[in-house]
Amino acid sequence: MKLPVVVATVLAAGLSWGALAAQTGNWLTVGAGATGIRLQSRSATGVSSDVSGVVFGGAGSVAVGPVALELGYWQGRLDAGPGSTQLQDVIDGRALLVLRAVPWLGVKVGTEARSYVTPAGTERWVFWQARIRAERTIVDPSVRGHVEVWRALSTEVNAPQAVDHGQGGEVGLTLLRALGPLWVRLAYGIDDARLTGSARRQTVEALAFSVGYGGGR
Amino acid sequence: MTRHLLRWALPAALAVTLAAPAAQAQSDGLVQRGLRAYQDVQFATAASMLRRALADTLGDGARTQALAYLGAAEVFAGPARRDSARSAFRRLVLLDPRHRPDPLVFPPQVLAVYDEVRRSTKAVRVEAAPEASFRPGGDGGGFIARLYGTSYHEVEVRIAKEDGAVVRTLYVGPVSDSLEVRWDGLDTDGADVRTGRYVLAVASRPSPGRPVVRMVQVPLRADLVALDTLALLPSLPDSLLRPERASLGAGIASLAAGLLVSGAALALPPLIADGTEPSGARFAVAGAVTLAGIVGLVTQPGRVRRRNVAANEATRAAWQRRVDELRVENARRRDAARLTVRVGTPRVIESVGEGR
Repeated sequence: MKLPVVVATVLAAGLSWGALAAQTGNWLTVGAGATGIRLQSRSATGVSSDVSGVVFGGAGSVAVGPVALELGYWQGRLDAGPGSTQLQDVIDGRALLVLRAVPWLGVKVGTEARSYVTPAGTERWVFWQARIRAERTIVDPSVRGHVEVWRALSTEVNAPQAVDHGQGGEVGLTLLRALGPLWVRLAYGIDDARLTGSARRQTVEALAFSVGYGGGR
Repeated sequence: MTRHLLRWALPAALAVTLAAPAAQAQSDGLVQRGLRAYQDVQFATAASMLRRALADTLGDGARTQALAYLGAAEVFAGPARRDSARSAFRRLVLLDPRHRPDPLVFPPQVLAVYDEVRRSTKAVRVEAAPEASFRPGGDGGGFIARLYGTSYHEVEVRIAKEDGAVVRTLYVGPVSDSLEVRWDGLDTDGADVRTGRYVLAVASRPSPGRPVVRMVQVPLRADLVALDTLALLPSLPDSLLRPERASLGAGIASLAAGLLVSGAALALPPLIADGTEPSGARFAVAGAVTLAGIVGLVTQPGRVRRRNVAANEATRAAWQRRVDELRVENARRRDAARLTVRVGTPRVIESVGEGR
């Protein structure tokens, strides 16, 4: 782990636990669902690919006061279409520390690791990232919208080139209390990672549908 | 000089000190001589001695005895002295309304005159302890006055200020033998009276609606020792309450939020991954969020805000708690209040006529 990430993580944790004394309330959220993924990859040499598929997985978080730990895991197979032999598995996992200073705004710091498994080999991406998430109730009290953007503080990839930058965002809608403690979420996300010198650019779009239990965050 | 003063001052002081008991002893002696003259059937002599005795200082017992025998002597002195007999008996009735001449001592014709006078005299005697200290408005206690009536008649008993303004009416109705009235130290509105001078006024009427024939006024000095009570809270101001129903603004805010989030969904691809060809998935989310905003616009106005309702209930409960605490504190302060009433010498006004 690189130094800026460590500093940011420690700082966030310190601030979180400092604010903890003034707040109460523990909650647990778990959810699972399916996500339609589209992966576009273009290289400077003109080689490009556009594969899509569905991944499945789940996420959960446990919060103590304003601080939460968020974990997620998704896995699935992408292909270029019917009859295509261009198959690759995608596996994504993330662990983020969340500080929610005010109810509508949260700051997240953590890591997201993603692997693309192809017959030619496995490419691993590790993003150390900082995220900001804003939430707003649209229909009180049952519908809430959110916008989340992130930027990679540091990215590692097992490729010959270094990473230029990585960033992403997500917009979603959560239906709360429709089925008691259950919630339903529809979200659209996109992230973009580039290697230095425009050697390669990789864009992932995702349309996620999930159902969960708990706080719905 | 000092020796000279002592030589004259001491005997003078001694003479003054001994003068009053000596005068009373002389009057008592006159009463005894009058009684002996009465028993010797020398009614004119008896009446003369008793009148002289009554003109001087006498104790209540001796005065009562002297008046009784004076009236009897005047009865026996003949019809011409009947008014003098009535006058003596009237003085006796006013002095002691409960007095009844001993039928073993006085003959029926004396008793008859006495009863006639007593029945025609409408008056009360007021007796009260010299000082009473009590909690205003408290159960039991209070300032107690006993009224002894000469005969059956109507009385009105009031506490009034020195200027005559009525503070509290204690009793309006008949009295025959005796009556006890009690004042709890409150005025007509139920408030504590202030420190000051008051009067216990007892007006006598022969019957309801007839003019007042006699009034007894007993001066009272009231001293109230009390902590000031705290001002009560006004009713809960609306400014402290949150709106319990959402306004049209809430609906507009829902729509604005929906449009904002929807716009963010549409803006994400060019912001995050400029130059790519995004799929149409973002439109699904943008449409859903916009639809939610429209639903909010329609459904939010007028909706009950449960959180605000709960907050308002808590605010009202807290306000009520403060009101209750103030009431308890004021009750404690009122309970700690003491009113001391000191009684002065009664004053009698005869033949008052109309009014109080």
